[in-house]
Amino acid sequence: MTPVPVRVAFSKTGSLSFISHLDLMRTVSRMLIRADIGIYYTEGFNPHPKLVFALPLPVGAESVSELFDIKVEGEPDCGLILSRLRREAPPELPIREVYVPSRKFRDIAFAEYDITMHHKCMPEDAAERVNALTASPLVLTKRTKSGEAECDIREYIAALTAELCEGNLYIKTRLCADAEHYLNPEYVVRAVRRALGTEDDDISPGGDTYSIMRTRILDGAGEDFR
Amino acid sequence: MDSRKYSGILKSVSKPARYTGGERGQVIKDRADVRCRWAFCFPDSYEIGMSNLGVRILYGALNSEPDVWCERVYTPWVDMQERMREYGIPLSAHESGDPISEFDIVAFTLQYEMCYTNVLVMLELGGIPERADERGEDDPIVIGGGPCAYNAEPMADFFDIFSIGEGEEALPELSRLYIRMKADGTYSRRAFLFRAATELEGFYVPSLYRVEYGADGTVSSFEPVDDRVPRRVKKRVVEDFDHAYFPTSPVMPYTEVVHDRIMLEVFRGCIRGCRFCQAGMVYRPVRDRSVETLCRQAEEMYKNTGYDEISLTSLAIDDYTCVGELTDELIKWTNENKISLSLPSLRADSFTRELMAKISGVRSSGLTFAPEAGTQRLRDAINKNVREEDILNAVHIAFEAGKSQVKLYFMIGLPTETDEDVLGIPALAAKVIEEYYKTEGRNKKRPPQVTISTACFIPKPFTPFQWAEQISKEEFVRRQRLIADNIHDRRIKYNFHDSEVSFIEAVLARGDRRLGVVMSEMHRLGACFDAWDEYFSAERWQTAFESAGIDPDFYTRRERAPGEILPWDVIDIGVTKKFLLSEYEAAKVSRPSKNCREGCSGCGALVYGGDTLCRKMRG
Repeated sequence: MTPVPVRVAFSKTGSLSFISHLDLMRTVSRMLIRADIGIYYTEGFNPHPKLVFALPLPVGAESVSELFDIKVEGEPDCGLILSRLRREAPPELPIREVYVPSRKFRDIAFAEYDITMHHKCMPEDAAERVNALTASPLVLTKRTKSGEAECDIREYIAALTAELCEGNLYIKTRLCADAEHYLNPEYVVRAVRRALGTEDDDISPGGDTYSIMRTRILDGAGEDFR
Repeated sequence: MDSRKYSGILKSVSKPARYTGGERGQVIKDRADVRCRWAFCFPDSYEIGMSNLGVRILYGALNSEPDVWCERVYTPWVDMQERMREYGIPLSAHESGDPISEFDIVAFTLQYEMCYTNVLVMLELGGIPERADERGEDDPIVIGGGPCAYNAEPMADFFDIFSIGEGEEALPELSRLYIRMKADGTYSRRAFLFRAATELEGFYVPSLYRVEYGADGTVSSFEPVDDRVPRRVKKRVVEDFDHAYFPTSPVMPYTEVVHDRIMLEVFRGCIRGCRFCQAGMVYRPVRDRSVETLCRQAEEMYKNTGYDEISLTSLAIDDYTCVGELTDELIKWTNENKISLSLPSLRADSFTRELMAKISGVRSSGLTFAPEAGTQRLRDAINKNVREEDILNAVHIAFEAGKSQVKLYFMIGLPTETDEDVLGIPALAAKVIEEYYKTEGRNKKRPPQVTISTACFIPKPFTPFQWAEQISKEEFVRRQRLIADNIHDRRIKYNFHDSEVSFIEAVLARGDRRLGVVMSEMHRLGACFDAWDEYFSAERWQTAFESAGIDPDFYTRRERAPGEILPWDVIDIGVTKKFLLSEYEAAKVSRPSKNCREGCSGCGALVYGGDTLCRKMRG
């Protein structure tokens, strides 16, 4: 029997935002085994559930728009898989949807994020300064496959807008997320903090902080990727 | 740790998932229903602490009591400690996030001597007075347990009470006493500790004993301060091991820890009686769990966890009488579910083709054997009872099954060891390489690799070698060099333990109460994570010994007289001093003893009842 691909949409929130990508893989593998849904295993020396995630998420960031693909033996009953996974998933890793995918992850082009920043010295014109950020080069040291390089991250930013409300800066941004051009949202945080002069933060409880939430994954046409 | 409140701090430290909690299997209770709260501290990192089976058992056993709530605490890593001090964040328990100073009982499991400095760091971060005699009525009771509690005298100043032996029955009993005394208004620190020491079995309260020392520095008297306090504290043993509590829904870490798998505890104790081994003596008598119980526990744990590996843990797994039947039953369902079986403590003399086939069913890993010594003479002296033929036969089976890597563990500095014995170690490794090429059906694509590891012998309390001296650091280094210089084959790799660390471990293992000053001084000097090479500092220990006016060689470089009062004589493990001494004499003439199944040597563990091997052997 040929194994059939199944896509699972889930969120990663709260304290689970602090587990790494490898930790997430381990956690999901075990959840799949407990769910007992006829999961397809990789062949070879060290068999484990076949499991592919759509995009990496930085440690500390939350998301309401995560995807992973698995394969199951035989015709999948998505309703049953959904209820079994919901039974086994940790509360901070809620399962949103299970379906048979029609497209591959390589069709993913963008991801959208909500970034919230709080700083005791937040400038009054912070929003204006962020909105003007992409008008001139935004050079940062970026980690690439071949080491570190100076890079103008503007070419990875499809949209960036900000609003200041009661001292909190709310940023919405759309970043490249295809296989060749993926920008970690932490770079945007760095660029914004540099522009606002708020790099010297106070990490104490209740002090200056920022949070990142991935809200959507999009295809090249800007539609929700499914 | 609350991930929103502390998000800035969590983002600034390494591996923040160590602190965020919320793992599957953790126990959350309603504070209103709880009468006794335990903060169960493992004085090492989260990754080490979460791997410990004993803690899993005690966590579950305490939480089985409806009005007791046991939570977990680990030593924050160095970067997190800095943040906690900077921002005044107290050490708190994983489940509730409440500071440990608010708990009724703060427990530390003492698994190895090098974690002692972490205990003092955790007390400080928790805002609990360091010394037991500085604590007031509102401070938690600080209790210690685990293997090092058999002689925790160097830590006696810092603990109110120790639990001696197996805790799964004793700790719930202690909780009941606490709850009763709180309810009827008779509770005070003194009254509670006194009643625990005099009414319950297996609790040692150091402040109820007065120790005096003679002119030569040895203990001259060790007496209870009150007639009602037992002269010796008898260790606790779970007599009905087959029906004893065992957790089948363990707390599952999200982040990677050292041992993250199903652990089945197949039996407790060991039939062998190796003369250097403390576990082999203190866990007597030998008690088996039935195949039926183990299979049920394995299946429950698999359903509850989704782990893909089952480890059969015990001191020497192939000594389990039903090892064939157990592994047969398990592989009926493990192979098809892609679960691998691992047997981490194999003995070379009982390793068979059948066992090999079962453990290489799903995933393949290297094999490890522990000959402990390089020559037959020395193996007889330490009562290891493994012959060279056994080792070569075992590696032959492994090579036949396609393995090419073998690890061999040894100890150097064992009593009676000569250079000939030391040279036997590289010689044995060379014979293993030869055996590889003699094996038909070996994996011809890969060259063999033999890794030799040598630990430095540390004389431990409650072993036949408890009277022996440890060789000097310089002599350890010379013997390590002797081995390295006699390896002429790149297919043999050699690792060895740092003798500086082993020296400190040896001081603490057989130390007395006077070392408390050294521990306090170490804490003042900033010691933490001494079990980690990067944080261990021999110079710091030296400084602490000097400022405390203590000569560490007194504890290591000295053969003790048979009549000397040992600081741990206050503990009664069942096995008698007379037996240990006769075993020490046998070692000196390289005479091995029978194992418990071949015949009873009358070690003394028979005093414990229940379904034990002693009862079977002696009726």
